[in-house]
Amino acid sequence: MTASTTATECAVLYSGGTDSTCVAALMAERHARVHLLTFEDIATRGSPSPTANVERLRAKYGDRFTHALLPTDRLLEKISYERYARNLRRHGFFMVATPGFSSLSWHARTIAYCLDHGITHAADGVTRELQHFPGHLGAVLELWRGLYKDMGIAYENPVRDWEVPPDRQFLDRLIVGAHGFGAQPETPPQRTTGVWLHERGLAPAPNVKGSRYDFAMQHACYPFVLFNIFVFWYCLAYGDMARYEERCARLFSEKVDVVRGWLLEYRRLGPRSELARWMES
Amino acid sequence: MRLLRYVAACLLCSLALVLPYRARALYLSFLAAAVHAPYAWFGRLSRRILDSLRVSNPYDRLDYRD
Repeated sequence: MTASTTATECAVLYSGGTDSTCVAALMAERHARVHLLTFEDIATRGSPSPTANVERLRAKYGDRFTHALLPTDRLLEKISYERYARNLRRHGFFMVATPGFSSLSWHARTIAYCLDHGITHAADGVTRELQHFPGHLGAVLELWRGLYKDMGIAYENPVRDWEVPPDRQFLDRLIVGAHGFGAQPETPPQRTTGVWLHERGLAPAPNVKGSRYDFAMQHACYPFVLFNIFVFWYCLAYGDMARYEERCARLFSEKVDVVRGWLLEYRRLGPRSELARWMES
Repeated sequence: MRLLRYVAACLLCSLALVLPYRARALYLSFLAAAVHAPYAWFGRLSRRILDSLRVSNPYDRLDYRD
């Protein structure tokens, strides 16, 4: 343990990709034990478990990592379909925001894990990429932060403002079209999570995103092609980003309130709560 | 074009809204596979052509195998 390492524990929402691996390493430099939490559901079950990068972290920082693969199917289903008819009337097509529901299910599961293990610090690898995703919007991130805070947990996004690599998937360009966020920088960015990992011997190159190596290391997230179509072909066809963000924040504010109720019951009743049943594999 | 995309988005999203959890997940996975398929097939074809021409694939530098 280095001199700067504290005796606390930390939970990291961990896909095994570049950003979350960087956050796991950053947390290992500050905490005595880091719990790496990977989530799986019906849409991601076939994708790789990120064990290779966990082993790289252990080789670099020692055996201070606990890795858990947590199913979130029932929780995600409950978040997606609770009061469905009422929500459909209120929010319309925003009810296809499955990447956001999936993200909320991960955070709810993380909070329950933290409560079980007495952990008071959590972090994830959210960056400025994919800024239309509900879980990447500033207003929604603040909702997540409030939820953690209410449960006595400090939640942070340590690489949120780091630079991101300039390349973008061709398919993103096809669907995103003219709504692309910002022009490509003329010079490559210097302070990305990939560069940071590469400098510490935790990645074979400064930018592995989109490579076969990356796909083999990383657990997939919920399929988001339809959500991209919804945002760029429907919401932004005749509306603007500010309006989209506002409606997203309204939907997720209500969802967070519901999840807060479930978590408070979980804290009070433990395994006898409804949330405990939904978290069973 | 914008109107066409708007109508297509409405149709694709409407179907997702009426599906239960598992069916919706399968529908989203199917859409993702369908959209990516032409590019995946093109990639495979390119590899095959490059192999037959004995030309090294420039994208192999992204494979970083241990």
